[in-house]
Amino acid sequence: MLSFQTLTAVLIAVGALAAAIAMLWRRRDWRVGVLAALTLVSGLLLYLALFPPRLPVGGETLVIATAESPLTAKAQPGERLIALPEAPAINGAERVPDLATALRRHEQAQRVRLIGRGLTPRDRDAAAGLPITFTPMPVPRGLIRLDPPADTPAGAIFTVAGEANGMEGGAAELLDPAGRRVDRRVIGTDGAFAMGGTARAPGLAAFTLRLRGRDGKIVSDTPVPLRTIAQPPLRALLIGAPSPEAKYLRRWAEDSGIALQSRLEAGGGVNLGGESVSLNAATLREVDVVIIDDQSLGSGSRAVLAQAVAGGLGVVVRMTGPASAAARGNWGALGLTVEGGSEAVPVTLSPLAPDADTLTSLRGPGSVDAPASINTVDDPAPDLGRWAVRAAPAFVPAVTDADGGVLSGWQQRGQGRVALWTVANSFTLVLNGQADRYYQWWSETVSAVSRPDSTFRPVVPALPEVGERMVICGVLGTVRVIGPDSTETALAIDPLAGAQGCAAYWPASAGVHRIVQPGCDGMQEFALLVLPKGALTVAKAKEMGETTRRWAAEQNAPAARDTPERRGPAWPYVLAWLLVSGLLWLGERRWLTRPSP
Amino acid sequence: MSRELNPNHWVAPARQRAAINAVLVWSPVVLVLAGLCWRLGGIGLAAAVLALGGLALGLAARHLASRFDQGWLVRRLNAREARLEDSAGLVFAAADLAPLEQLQAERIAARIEAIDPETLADGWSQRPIIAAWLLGAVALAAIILWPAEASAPPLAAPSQTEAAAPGQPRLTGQRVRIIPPAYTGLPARYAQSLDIRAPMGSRIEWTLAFTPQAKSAALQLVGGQTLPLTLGEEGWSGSLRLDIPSLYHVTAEGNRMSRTAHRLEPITDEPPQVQVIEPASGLVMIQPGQRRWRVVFEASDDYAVDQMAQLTLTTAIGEGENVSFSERSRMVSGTGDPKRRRFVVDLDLAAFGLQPGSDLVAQLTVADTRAPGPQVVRGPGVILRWPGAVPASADGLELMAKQTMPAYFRSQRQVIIDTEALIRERGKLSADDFMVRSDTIGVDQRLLRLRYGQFVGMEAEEAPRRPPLPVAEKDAPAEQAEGEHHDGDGHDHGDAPESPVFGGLGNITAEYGHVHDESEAATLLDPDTRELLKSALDAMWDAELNLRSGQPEKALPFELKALDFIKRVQQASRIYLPRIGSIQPPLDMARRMAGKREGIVAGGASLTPFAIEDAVPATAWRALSSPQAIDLGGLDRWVRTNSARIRDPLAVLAAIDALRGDPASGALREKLRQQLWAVLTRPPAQVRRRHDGGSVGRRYMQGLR
Repeated sequence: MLSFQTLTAVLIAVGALAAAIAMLWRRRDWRVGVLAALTLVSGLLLYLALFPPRLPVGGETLVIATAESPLTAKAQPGERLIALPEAPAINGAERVPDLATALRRHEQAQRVRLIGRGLTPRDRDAAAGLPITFTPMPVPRGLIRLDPPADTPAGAIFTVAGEANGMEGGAAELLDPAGRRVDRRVIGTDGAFAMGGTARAPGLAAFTLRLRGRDGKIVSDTPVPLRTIAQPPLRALLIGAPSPEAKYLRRWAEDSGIALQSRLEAGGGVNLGGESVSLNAATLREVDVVIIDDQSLGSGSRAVLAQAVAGGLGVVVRMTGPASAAARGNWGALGLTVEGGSEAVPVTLSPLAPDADTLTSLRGPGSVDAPASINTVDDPAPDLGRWAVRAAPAFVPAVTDADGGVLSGWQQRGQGRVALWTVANSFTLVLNGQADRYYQWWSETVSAVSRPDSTFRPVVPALPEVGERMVICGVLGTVRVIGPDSTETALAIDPLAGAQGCAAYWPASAGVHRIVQPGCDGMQEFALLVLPKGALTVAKAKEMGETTRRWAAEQNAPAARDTPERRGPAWPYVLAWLLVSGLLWLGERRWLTRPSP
Repeated sequence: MSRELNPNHWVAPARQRAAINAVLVWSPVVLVLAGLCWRLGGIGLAAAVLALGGLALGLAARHLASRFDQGWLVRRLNAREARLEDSAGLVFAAADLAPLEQLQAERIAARIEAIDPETLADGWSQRPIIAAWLLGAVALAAIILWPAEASAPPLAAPSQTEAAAPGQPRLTGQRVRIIPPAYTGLPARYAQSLDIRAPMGSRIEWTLAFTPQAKSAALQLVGGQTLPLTLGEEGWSGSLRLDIPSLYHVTAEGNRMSRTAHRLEPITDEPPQVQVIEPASGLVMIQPGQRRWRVVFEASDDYAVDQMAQLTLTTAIGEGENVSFSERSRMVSGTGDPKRRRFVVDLDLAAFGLQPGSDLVAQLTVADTRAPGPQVVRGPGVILRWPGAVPASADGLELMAKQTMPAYFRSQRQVIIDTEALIRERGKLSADDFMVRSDTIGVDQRLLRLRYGQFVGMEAEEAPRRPPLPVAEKDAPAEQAEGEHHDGDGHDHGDAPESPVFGGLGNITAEYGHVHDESEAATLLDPDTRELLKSALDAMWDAELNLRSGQPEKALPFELKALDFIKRVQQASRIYLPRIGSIQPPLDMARRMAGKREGIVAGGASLTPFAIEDAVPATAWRALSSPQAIDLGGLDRWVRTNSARIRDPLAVLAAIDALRGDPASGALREKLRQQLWAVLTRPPAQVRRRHDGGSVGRRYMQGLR
């Protein structure tokens, strides 16, 4: 395909050549030669006037000051200093509202040098079209990463992880909402730390992550939201022989608000569970999770269960003895492919807490029946054994011991999941005063497999900050956000997001915001904590520097250099062409129209 | 020649020494005076006093020195040196001398020249000097260390400025003095803020100033009384004894905006702690030849441990049931820091009369100095044991026999001793008392008889009861018929006939006789021993009969006889006890679980639900997250009732009180909610159901199939 430019060039060249040859054809002397040459030159100039060539290299460099740029920044010869809104007031800098404006205003610029912390997401949206150099500033001292806990079940243990820069020898502390220290870790050379606490009643609570320097002075206090969602009670079915394990499972279920039905076969048709539950599809549809011991998993129940699992039911198979080939076959029919399981190995238990204080705050105030003083951190841990199973990659561990041995894990089948509980005598945890751990293990296992529900749970960023755009997904209909000062904002759902149901929101004040959406039975609420401005300054600074560096590297990439070409100004060529054409016209008129003597 | 002797040469050392002595003795007085002046009047006065004193001292010393003149020299020389022949006066005489005198003077002058003038001076007055300097040092130290009379500091500006409308009294000055109870030994101090934390029982004195002046002011205790303040020179003042933790507001008439609650937090006095330093373990075995035993206790308290503590020494001498206890106590005094006193006890073992198989227990009871009501704590006991003789090696049944029997066969002796004592005291007792005591011994005898009866197969006919009172016995005639055989009297009458059938042999023993043993128990004792035991039981029976009818004299021979039989039983070769239970017949699997099973599970397995003790705070915690009304009164009551379980109830109460003052405030609601976190009980870990991913997620999962 001939481009327009080539076509024009060919036409001009053909025209000019034809004119020149025609002239020379008529007469041959030096004057005509000059005219012919001028014709060719005029053609060339016409082409250049139409398509001016690119300017030679060596144009201006834009020095763009971003946040935290030094006040002493100056433009060198051949540079122009431009300040973005985040930049401090630098003398002699041209202030622009954003990077795109700067590039538009200074089209002659050939390259861009960024100084300061980096570009905000606003300026990183589009490609700049210029090579950009950027060296990130050193990351300041403080918290550079914070992994807040995900939604935590009430009463369960949660983990807060993070990383601090330049804080070696300092300490990270987790303070509960009342301001008491829950956990403390000394920060090592790599700066990473992980701390734990326990959730209480459902609701949104704000913990505080406090960093202390080596001298004990407070470096930063960062809010850490902890969300516990109130859910409808879980419907569970416990099937097995009467055993201590069944006893303490029932106790746990009763205490943690699970609607439990149990079928405890004592043999001879005697059911100690109280309810006469039969395993059939109709019953299992009304149940979220079935906890069954391997002895009770006969061929009759297997098929019904397998079908129900595919429909979303969760099943926990509790091992009571070494696995036989038949048992493994039974599990396989449920969708659980494991090997081994015939050999018992000891379970390594990590200490409940590093010290007595931490244990006290993990347990919370004791009750009359179980005073806080009854079990201490020094009490010996029970000897537990587990059946060592080898699992396929599809098998996901849910609970592991301190050495990483799988205590329970699950595998997906259809919409449901099947878990395997490999600890035979886990109830001894309760007898040894470690009921917390027993409950935690069962909570994690049952949480992993139980039938999914559709509680209102929009997807929100983990740590939104005041004044920053955030995206709320998983909402539909008329959704509102109620701020801490009871101001209501209606969310406009982005039609382009489709079924995900996403909307943007700019929180204007820090504190607890509630997303409210009408549901089938009343209003559904979801609380989220908006952090005050500057709560994560260091982490944001690090993230900004790294993202800007990556973005700048992309601008330097060869692909980025094939941006639309920049033409030089056309007017010099137009002038030259006019001049040459004028000369040509004069020459022709003087020499060609008048017959030569 | 005599003229060449200069008397000054001989007097100078004495003068010098006298002057120095005087200066040394009196200069501490000057220093102490100067010190006093420095303390009372400042450094200038002290310098003046020091200069004047020095001058006076110099003058006095000079005056003293001037007393040592020529006359003194002559007297001293004559007194000191016999060889001067009382003629020293001639040598230093001013007037012309007679020739003889001159001759004598020359003779003596030569002798005087040989005397060292130093030896003429008086000795140093060491004792007065030392005493003066010691006293002076003590006085100076006292002057320097005497505590300054602390003058009350001026009122400080309040730590937090209270909002007040213009024209309303506003708190502008505060001073809180805390006077801890005297026994704590803590000095009175001034609190920095209105939040007070002080030892329990402290007296708290407030002095508060308001601008403009208030008409009246008071301290309002939250949920309690009002403490009116009185206007004094410096401002409004009042005082309170700090006994219970509470919150208070400072209120002034006309100012309604003061809503900050301040804390009154007593620090409770902990009881003292006693620990044993030496010996290292609570049970020590006596060393062969050990004469003394050293025990060291350490008692610690938050304020002070009383210097005197009571040491209780208990000796247990004897073995088995025949152990005699004696307890004696004495006071020991501790040494060291009052907060951590050591009590060293060095016991002479000879005084306790220990024998093999006896224990000596030492226990220290310490008190702290709390007034009123010192807290007394009984510390751990340490035992010094003299191990008894190791019982002869025995195994199997012999072991059981030897260890079991002595425990049963001993108290008969006690019954005899009691009876003898009763007979001796007969004259002193009234008839009723005598009867009661005799009857009590009879009851003892009966209990003993029942115990022995078990060995010959008597069932525990009557569960051993407490000795009944005689009054009760008179009301219960059934008891009096004990002599007769009746059901449950300790021996077998055979089964009662259920349905007498004519011709049936029936149970003859049930109707006409009884056996005094039963088949299973018959294997217990060999026939001879059983015979002996039966005889002992018979003797006991007679003894009991006489005792209960108030005739201990008649009972005594039977008692002695019973004892004799028992001693013989004790020496009997073997007593067999069944070691294992009966052998069960084998299970008949065909009949197993063949019966009716309906309703054998009673009520299923219903569990008592977990009592949520924190329902009140949990409800409030949820309610506070959204702007709805909450029951502050109920929450307040709950916190007060459960304050023992909560670590810092005052903080919660303060948050409740603050919110009560301004129920609409979002910040205060948030604060209370935060405080409630520490109150919430941790529920057992619940289950979090995973999200199904919404419609997109569901479609995706279905698409996977």
